[in-house]
Amino acid sequence: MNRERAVCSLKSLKVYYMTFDGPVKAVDDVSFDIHREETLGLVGESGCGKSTLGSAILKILPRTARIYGKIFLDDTDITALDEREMQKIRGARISMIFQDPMTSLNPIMKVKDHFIETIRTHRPEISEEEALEMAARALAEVGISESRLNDYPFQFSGGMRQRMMIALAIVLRPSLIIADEPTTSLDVIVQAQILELMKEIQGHVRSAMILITHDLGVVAEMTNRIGVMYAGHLVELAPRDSIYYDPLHPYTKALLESVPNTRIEDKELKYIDGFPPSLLNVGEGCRFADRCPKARKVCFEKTPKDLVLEDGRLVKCWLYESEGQVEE
Amino acid sequence: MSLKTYLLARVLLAIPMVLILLTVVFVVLRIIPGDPVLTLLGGKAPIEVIEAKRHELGLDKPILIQYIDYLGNLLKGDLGKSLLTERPVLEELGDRLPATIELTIFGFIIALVIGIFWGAEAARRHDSVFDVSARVYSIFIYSVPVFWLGMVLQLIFGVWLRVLPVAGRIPPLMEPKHITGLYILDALFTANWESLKEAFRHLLLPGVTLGLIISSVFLRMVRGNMILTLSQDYTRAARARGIKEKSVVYRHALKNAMVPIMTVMGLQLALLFAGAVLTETTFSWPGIGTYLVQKIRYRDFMAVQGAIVIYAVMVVTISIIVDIINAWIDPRIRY
Repeated sequence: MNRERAVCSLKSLKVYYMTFDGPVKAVDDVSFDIHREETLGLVGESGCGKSTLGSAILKILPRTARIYGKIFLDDTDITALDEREMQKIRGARISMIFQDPMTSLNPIMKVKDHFIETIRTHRPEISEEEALEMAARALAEVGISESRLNDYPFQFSGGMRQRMMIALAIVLRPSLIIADEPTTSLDVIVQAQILELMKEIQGHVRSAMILITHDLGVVAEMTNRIGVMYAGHLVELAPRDSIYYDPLHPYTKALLESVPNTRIEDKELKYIDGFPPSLLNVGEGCRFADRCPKARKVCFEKTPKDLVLEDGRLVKCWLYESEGQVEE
Repeated sequence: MSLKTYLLARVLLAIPMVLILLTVVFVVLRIIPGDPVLTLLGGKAPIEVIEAKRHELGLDKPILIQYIDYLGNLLKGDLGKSLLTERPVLEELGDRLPATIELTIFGFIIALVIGIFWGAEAARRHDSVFDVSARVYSIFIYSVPVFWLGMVLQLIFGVWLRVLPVAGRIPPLMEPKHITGLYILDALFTANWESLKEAFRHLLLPGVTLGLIISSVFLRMVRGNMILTLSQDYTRAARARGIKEKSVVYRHALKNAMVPIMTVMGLQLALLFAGAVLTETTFSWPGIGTYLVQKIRYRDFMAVQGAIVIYAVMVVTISIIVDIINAWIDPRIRY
């Protein structure tokens, strides 16, 4: 599909949280590539591992987490980098936009100091004045006046703060932006504005973006490709329209059916019966098997492989065994 | 409300506070058994002599009149005369205050260093050996009585090793020229190295004792508040921007944790300035603490009242200073 070299690629990435009772397999065997100017949406319900995945790419997980597999940023495997080398990457080559802009800015630091600190940490050769100019330009990009550099975060509204977080994320022109539920804590009108802004910004920063959300409306609006996660597995990965109009994995289908739709009247809203499995010491087998209407014997016994179909879509389900190739 | 009006209100509120405190002390001193005149003259003095003395000191007047007289004098800045030595209380306190300030500042610095650095590192490496040892240390020190710790240190360094003096501020005749009253500073100003060395040697044991004792409170405060701020979104966001660990811990997390910590530290400091009674007594340190104990023993009403006034003024002043510093740290207080 996209022949260009990937900005970031995950090769059977696993993130386990070590507990006294055993490992919690929050992300298990996830592989995908993401390219320049592309937006990849990661959707799934709470606890499916999507946020863990985002933090794993930056390696800002709690100490109990262990990362296995590989994460390539351009050609470097960043799982092998030590903390000091990771610090150089964070904020400069990969940056993150967080869920709650109200609490993600240091309440006792002026806006300008957030910028100066970030810029000068990565590029100490830049003077304070130049850093301020860069900050002003980044703020202008998100529609905030330069005059507010001297204000404190609490003097801004939620939407404004999220704009500021975005400016802070793009000021060093990273090649990958990870947005972890960037609009969840905002009201609907502000959400729309922020999404519009993110699209526009990505257009001229030309970076890749991973958009993590549980909001199917948001991914539909924003992304080129969508990855669906369930209980630590990436169960389906396909272009946006394929996911919406022709979902393959039974979980993707069930998930889409559970979205309220105002156009279809008199139809009871569907839901998926049961709960996702506990990820503690989870063993072999498809993790959705318990709740899957089409589950067979094999589904409970063996974890399905990542199957790549003819059109390049990826699906992790035994139903398509005959149609796809196993990704090596 | 601007900071100025806020501070003005604080100062004005302090006046009734001091007044109530003073009234309680005034009344209590006169209710508890014991008579300054009897203590002064001894039980065997003839009754006429006792009466004469009592009249001379104004203690035969009704309590209400004594109270009004006292307040009147206080307004003029006169704390009265010590019943025991007949020297002005203010002058006596002035003699004692530098010793207490010197001890307090020294102990406070030790406590700050231990509390902030160990506390911050313990919070950063939550549940590590470092953190567990910090917890054990602070609980142990917190539960140990000051005088016990002081005596143990005296035993080790004064009796067994014989390297440090166990009492007093400086050997007689070695006092540096009086400038600030703080021997360390005075010796430095006058380049009197012998005195400096002696003053420091004398300060070491009581200072360390005091410092260790209050470090446990600081350590727990810093650790607890830092665990909180280190788990906040903004510290995680700072890490995600590639900010160096040291800056994340000290610039982001510690500074945000500082407001509640400052408040407790300020109160501690005020308490100490008013006399670390037990430490001073253990080391025969000639500060406000030993002064107060001595004067209570002799029922020296005037001196005790005076010390209490100084105490109240210290607490008020320091808590106002803490408020100013907090407003400087946290803009949300300022605006």
